[in-house]
Amino acid sequence: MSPLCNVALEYLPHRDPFRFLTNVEELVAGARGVGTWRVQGGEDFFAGHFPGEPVLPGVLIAEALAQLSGLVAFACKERPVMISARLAQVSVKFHSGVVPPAEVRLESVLVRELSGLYMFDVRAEVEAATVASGSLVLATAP
Amino acid sequence: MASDETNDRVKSVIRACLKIDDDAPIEDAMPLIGGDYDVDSLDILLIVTELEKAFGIKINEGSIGKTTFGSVGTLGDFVEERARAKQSAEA
Repeated sequence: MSPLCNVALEYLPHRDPFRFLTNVEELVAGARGVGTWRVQGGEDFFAGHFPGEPVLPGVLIAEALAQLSGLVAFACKERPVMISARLAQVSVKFHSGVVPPAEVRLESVLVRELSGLYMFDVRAEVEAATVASGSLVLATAP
Repeated sequence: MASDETNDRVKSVIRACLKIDDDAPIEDAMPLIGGDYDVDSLDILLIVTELEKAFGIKINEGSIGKTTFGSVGTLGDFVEERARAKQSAEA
């Protein structure tokens, strides 16, 4: 594990209940990252999604991938840069549902940076099976 | 000037990225910035990334500008030049 992984989560401005990264296992700033979201099953959103039959919302998997992508692009930079970054585009296919408890492995690779836009190839796995894959774009511009 | 084949492939990429119907006309001279579809920086990012995949070329940020994205034709010229340069380098 790189020294950066130990401090990476400190760069993430998100806090509970809207932080979906539990650990960062690999992080090459400006290039790629691997992280984990440990989904326990007791999170508040499962009360409604769905009562008695919890399924992890795909939109939150996309958010978790975006949070990891933010670390890939902006870890080691000033905190205001990370806070001002926003999700500009998501194109993710969800291959299967995720039922808690689950350990979701997240991967993000920075593909291109252009005029304040950062494009990533992203993937999420549970027990080595891909549950979501695609691309997303973060923007630092308004 | 780019071949019709290159321009058609560029148009296919533009259609896919901008979600333009197949029956909607795209002329070679159609301006991309400020034209009917008025591409923004996010559109440019998506189009450039897809052009790289479609043509197997690498496009550097420094070479992307208003001239390159002046029209479908200028974008086709740019892509064809890059594809030729790649072929020459590999020959």
